[in-house]
Amino acid sequence: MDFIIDDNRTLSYGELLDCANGESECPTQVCAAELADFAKIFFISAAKSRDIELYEGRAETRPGEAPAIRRSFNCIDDFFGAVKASASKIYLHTSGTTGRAKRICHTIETLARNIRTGEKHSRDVWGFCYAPTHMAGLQVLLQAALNKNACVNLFGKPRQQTYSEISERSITHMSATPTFYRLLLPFERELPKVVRATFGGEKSSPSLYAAVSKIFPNAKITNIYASTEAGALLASDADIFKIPPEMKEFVRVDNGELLIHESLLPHSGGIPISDGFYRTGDMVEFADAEGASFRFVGRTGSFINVGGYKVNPEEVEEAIKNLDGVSNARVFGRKNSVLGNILCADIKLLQNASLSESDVRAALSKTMRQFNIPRVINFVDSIILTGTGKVKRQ
Amino acid sequence: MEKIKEIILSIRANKGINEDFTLTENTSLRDDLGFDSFDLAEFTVKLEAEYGIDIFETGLVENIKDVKDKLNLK
Repeated sequence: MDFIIDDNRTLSYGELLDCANGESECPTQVCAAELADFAKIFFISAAKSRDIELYEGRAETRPGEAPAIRRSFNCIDDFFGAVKASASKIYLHTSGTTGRAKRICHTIETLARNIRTGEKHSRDVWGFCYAPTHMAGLQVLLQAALNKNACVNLFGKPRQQTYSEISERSITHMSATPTFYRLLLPFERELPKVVRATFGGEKSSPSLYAAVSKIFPNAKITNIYASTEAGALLASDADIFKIPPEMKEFVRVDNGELLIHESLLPHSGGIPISDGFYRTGDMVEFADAEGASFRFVGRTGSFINVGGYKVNPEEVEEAIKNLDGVSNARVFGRKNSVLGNILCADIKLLQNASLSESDVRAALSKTMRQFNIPRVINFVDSIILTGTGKVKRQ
Repeated sequence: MEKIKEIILSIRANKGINEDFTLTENTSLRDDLGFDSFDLAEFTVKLEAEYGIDIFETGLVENIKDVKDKLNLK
């Protein structure tokens, strides 16, 4: 049974077990782009309680603090039983979309706490759309592995290959950033076998959900709020997150910033706590008068001061991406002697689309105030993304 | 002067103003061309891309003569 399918390379569950039992060589350092090697090093290290360090683009393993476990595994269930009971420390580095990267310590227990297993999931086939060294990628790998599902690598693959892999490999589940889903636009054909499409990692929008629903007509669309620090925390059907009553005490909003109680975080390592809460850096606005639901508006520190006005680049990006003919956009500030910062936009157009700077500005001025409209617009061939597939703003 | 006029035309076109105008050394950026601070910011970025000089870096710029002086144009 195949576990990882990555172009022409596969890793079966049997090969993973053989490698764990020492019948084939397991590396101690791998490039994360090689998903099959990454899966080997990650799961075998976890089963043997070795520590794992996940960097941008590579993974390393080393002996853990607990005594080395030298045992063989009878079958794949025995192996994954050892993974679930692992004492490994797993160090993740935050992507640093808008600030400095941090090193966060997790365990299999904290990474797998939202993984759903059971008969219901036994035939799922996952499209893998994240870097494996980041929280969201690990969540998908664990979800697939603990249900012995196949996992098809789509991260960084061209648009045509993505469409054909989803169709030919009968992928049923996808989890990806809005930026990834946007690569599938404009609509090319329906992919009816996908039954679940999860969004995460960036602010999304109802118009993108609608466009993605057209490609995956049988998919339930969900949105997930997760961070490297906390893992997956909240899920929603659209861009509005409801705070469940049992979490009300543990989720707080201060000056527009989402705060998470330390009891929801992994116990060890690297996360600054103030008065029992961790400041997420995610800016939210309440979607109801009682404060029981909210939507994301951006990241703290990502706001750009343009002539004394605070501009949310994500809001402007969203408006640009909603224009006909636009594939993706990046909005950022550049130092300017008149305004302090001048708002700039890199825009990637869809194939055959034709838009001028004046067209973009005229369209934006219908819905946005002057200070929100980029004054320097570059049409580019590609938009720079972070390792997690988010738009890189700094 | 031609290049400066071309840049001004592009800024005005982006605001939906397409009429031609006469540009002299006394033309005031704010009063005659109607530039606000956002237009001036765009103007300085476009000039800098062309001439490599930030005209607002060292003091006020009122009219086209000031612009030419800052850019060391005759």
